Amino acid sequence: MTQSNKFLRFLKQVAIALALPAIMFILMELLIYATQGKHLFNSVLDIRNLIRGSGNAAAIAFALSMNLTSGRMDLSLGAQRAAGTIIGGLIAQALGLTGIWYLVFAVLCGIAFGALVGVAFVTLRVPPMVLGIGMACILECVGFAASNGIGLKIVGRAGTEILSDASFTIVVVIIMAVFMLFLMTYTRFSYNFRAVRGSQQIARNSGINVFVNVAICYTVAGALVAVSGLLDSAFAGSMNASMGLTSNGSVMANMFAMMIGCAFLSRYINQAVGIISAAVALRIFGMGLTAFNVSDAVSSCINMALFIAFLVWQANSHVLKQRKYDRERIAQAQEMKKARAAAV
Amino acid sequence: MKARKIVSLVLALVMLLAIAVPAGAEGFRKVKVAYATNATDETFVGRKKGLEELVGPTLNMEFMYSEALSDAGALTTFIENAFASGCEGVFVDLANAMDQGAAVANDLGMWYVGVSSADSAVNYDLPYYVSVVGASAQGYGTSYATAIESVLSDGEEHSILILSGAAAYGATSFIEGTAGSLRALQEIYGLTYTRDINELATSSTSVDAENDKGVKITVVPGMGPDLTNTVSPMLQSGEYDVVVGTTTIYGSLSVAVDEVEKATGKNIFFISRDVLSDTIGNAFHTNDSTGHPVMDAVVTQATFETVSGMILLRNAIDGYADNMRADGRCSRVPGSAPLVVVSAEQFDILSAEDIPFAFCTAEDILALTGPDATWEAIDAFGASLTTEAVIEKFNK
Repeated sequence: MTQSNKFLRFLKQVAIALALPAIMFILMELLIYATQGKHLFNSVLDIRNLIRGSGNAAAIAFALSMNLTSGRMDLSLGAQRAAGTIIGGLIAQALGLTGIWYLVFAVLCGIAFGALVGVAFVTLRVPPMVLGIGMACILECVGFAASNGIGLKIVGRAGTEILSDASFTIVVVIIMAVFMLFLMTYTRFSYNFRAVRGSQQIARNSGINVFVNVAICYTVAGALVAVSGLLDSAFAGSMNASMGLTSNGSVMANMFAMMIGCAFLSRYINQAVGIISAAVALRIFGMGLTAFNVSDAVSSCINMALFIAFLVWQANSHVLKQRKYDRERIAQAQEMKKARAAAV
Repeated sequence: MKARKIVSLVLALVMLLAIAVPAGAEGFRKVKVAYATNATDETFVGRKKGLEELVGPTLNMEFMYSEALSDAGALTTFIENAFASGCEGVFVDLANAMDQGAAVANDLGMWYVGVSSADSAVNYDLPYYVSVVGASAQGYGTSYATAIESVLSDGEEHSILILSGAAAYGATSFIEGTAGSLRALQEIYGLTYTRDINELATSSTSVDAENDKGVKITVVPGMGPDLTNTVSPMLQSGEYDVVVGTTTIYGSLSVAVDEVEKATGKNIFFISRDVLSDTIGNAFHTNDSTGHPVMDAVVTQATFETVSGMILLRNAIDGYADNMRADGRCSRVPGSAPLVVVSAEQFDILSAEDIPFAFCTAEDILALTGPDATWEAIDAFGASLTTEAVIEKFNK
């Protein structure tokens, strides 16, 4: 491929990556301006909100993509997020550390909990959803017990201002994106990951250690959700020690971004970039709904309805293509029949 | 002979241990009481500390705590578990399932006290339903009005964002807190709303309280960490310079407010419902980027309800339930209105190290127990704990 072709291809991918957020922005801006006389973004604070929200969503979407795309639904991600953030934060507080150390310890705890779930999965061979529920209950209790029920409180703590700073969030998101880009594109792990996703049996027969690969997937997912948890709690001031599987709500809410990035945009651009693009687009959509004074419940309904509509389209898009192909073939056959009849 | 010596020694040891039991617990049989809470936030932490350090040792009570409960099903499960683990009473801070919980406790023979800003609606005549404690909704309304008058009576024009918390779900303290705030603004600005105040307070979506003076007032429902996502964009529009929270908002909105102040250079007045914790103390004593205190006023979470509830349970368990109930039904013990703290000085006085939990000493608590204690006396004592009275009592 010539240099110019490569460059054109690169530009095309950049355009595709920016297309979805751009279309969403134009759509919401026009709607809001037409109905409310306001703009979607009114100040630099809105941009900060966008960056912060997109970063959180992208981290969770990355984490979901590590297992869900391979058919493993890990329902303990939310609990890993909560427990990793709480315990990592408490360790940092106990050691008298501030700022970035909260993130470091949260990630370390996320890695530990992710690895625990992954090892449990490959060892016990329990169905992933069932294991996820069990581990979620356990990890929620761990976070609750470790914090005496109050979770992690960051508000008012000296040295933690950096965690809610937009510049810091941008840096973390970039590091995370580069890490995922590299991990899922240029490493042996990524080849093994795609092979296992295609067929576990064939992957195993070709010498790939499926169990190690899966355990690493869970571990990476744990680290990613811990990043999201810590960034979120830095802005909200706390991470609650929730129980009763309620911790998974925030993770499920970001499944749409993961599906768009992995199942649709990944056909045209790198999956990691696609997930970020989808996260930004959906965040813009969410900000637009807020501008319309739509309540949280209605906003969730709309998001989930669109998610289901996307899944329906995704599952049935081949039917439309097949019907179009069939129509063309039928028309072609009818033409041939007419031609033969005319020749006779 | 040797056996007699051993028995004597053991008896002597038992007597020594009995003497070593705290004086407040003298005469009280040790009992276990369950505490069902709707949130495990800083308020709960403070109450738990008060129970463990003051009420428990004084009344010889041991406590079993729930996780954050949200509905009647979870409450029922907790009460059943509490019964199985030996609890004789249950204290329930979950207003939306309070009366249902009473029925469960009654079936199990457990004495029951609920927390709400309104009286019991059903099941109030169940024999084990002792009382409903909690500052009245009107008390919350008055306290919020006081807080707003204190902060906004500067003759300046302001734009106010009122976070109504659970008002849209019918929680009366939030409804009155919001309505009280709206009434106070009505007084300050001499304005007339185009819609009914209660309708505005209980709106389930964000609503502008339009009025004849054009003062920008918006009521936003919701509570919890999700509030950050809903409210931050509104604050970031720069339209509002007063935020009033009928729920605990400092933790979830402090960063957002700080960002807006730094970006706009405008001070945002902050009124929250909170406990007198170190975090709030820092907020009163710290100046924001505009040079004003971070926190302008706090409507304290009522703490006397916790103490009064345990006193009522203690008396009921000890056989004086009739004095704790009112004419064959559960009594209503609102106690005092929530205290309002509007300055760092007031905060320092009310949160000093030697200030007891809920401003009640062990002697105060013991004076409200026994065969002569009545629910009216407990209520009257609570009502005497006004901000001025407490400051006078403890600022020596």
